Amino acid sequence: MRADARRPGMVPLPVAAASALGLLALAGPVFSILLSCSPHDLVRAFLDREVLSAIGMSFLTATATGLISLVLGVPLAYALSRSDGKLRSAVESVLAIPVLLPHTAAGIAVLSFFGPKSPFRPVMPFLLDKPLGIIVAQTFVSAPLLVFSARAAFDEVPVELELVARSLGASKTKAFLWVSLPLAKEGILAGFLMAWARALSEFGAVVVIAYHPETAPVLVYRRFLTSGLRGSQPVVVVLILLTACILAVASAFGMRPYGGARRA
Amino acid sequence: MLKVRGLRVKVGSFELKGVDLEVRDGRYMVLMGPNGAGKTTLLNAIAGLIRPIEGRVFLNGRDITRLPPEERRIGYVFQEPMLFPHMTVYGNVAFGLRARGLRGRELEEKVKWALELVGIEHLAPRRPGQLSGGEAKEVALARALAIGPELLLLDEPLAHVDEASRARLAEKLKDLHDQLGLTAIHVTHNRLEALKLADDLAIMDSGRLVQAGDAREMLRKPASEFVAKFLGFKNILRCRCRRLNGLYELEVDGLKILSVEGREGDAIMCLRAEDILVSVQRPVTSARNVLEGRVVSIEPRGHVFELRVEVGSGVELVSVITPVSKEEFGIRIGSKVYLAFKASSVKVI
Repeated sequence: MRADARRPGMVPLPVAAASALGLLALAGPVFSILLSCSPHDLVRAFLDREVLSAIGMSFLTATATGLISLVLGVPLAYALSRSDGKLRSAVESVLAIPVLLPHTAAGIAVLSFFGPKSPFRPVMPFLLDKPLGIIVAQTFVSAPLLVFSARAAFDEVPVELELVARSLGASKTKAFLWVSLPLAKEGILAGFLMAWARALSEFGAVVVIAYHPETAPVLVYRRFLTSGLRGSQPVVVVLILLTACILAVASAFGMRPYGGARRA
Repeated sequence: MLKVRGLRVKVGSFELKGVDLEVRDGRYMVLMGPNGAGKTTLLNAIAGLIRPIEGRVFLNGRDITRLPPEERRIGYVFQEPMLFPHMTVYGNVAFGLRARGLRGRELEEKVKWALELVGIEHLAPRRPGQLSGGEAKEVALARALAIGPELLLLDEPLAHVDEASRARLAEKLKDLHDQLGLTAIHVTHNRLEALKLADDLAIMDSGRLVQAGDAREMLRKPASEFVAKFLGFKNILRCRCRRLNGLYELEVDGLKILSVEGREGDAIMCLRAEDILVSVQRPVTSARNVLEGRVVSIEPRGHVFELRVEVGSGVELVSVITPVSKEEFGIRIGSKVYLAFKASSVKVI
């Protein structure tokens, strides 16, 4: 019966037309830029050391951000999942702010946290125009995505399973590590990928704290300012191709950063 | 031995109101009561999953009231099997042993023992999603038994499984109890299941333990109308009781019934429907009570029919009759019938 629901013929014509329009709006820019870049420009971009260095920096910092988000976000997500309604809503509202803030404002918020009046001000020299600064900025805006995804995954794990584990002799920690964590694995991995992708694409918060060393989004912006559309297009194409490769690999391993149920 | 003393537990607006309970070593106690009576809450409190606000729980002389669940050595089979879906049956059964630090050969042997004990060794490599409801319950049972619990808690272990699995599981529980001498508390709504398995019975209502004790004794002497109803007495009537020639005469709205037990004054008489013999001619019997009446209703009840018979001045008694007897005697609504029952079948509270 489920297979019947997937028949394209079931989609009414107006919905199909609206879908086509939506697809055009979303996929159009991607294909347009792919087609606008000549193979020659693309090869040059791939060989451009500045481009490779910026992409390397983006991948390195985004991966570090993803891992830090994992270490900090999973325990927080679990605690939220098992906490009562009021506390949970309050904390989740706070966590949603970095996601909803304009990206540059998020960068300013991070700067203030390490600013002159902050007890964390001694850390500031290690952040300004340093890879660590990029990671901190990226973590601020992307870790909440992992927390939300992991929290939803922990919500799906019945508390009763943990109680069974405890009645069988497992401590709270073992019940978490042996039962809840493996069962929430998919949601956590999806959250990790979302956080990683968000970190990879982050521009506003990063540029406020660390314009250098350049990440790919910063390089694209600078090339656009200095060389216009033609100068920035090949870099964007390289980014699109690499992102597509990563999505394909992630999908092959069963990770679904864009959500939705896996098809049978 | 489990001893529960003055246990008070609050869960939302529900409260267990000072429960006192004892389960002696090797006894199989069946805990019954209507929905919301507090049966599961009591099990949860004994297992340490809920903190009591007052009272004490002792297991084999140890005060376990403040111990976390993992230190209590209590096996708990929940109402739903609650198998770990990311593990095989083997992994599920091994879970508690691994949590206790067992590894290697010792672990394997214990898991094998538990699987064989419940007769599910063939299920070992399967995932919970590949099990039937009955099989999942068996795995949950093996998992709880694997840890060698000092007390086994079973919350409706036979619910939500098909008829055949239920009968098989009940038989298995009885065998395991005989074999291992388990001390257990088994929650159920099913009276037949309870009577089949119970050494002891306990009845709860609205957060209180109403009566507990030896199952046969409780069936012989329910302490209250509520317990009598719960234990399946269909005929519960208010009566006036007086001594008469070594027996007791119970008067129910003018109707006279003889009983072996009783006491002077107002009382409640209880009589099982199954203890009443129905016939269409006055029976020749040693039963001291033979009443003439008319059938006012006939209702199918599983494999039998339940007859409601007016035996005089508005008093109705409920009896049961097999479909064969119903056909043979040609009993229908309005038929004249005789009800016979022994004076010893009448319980007075």
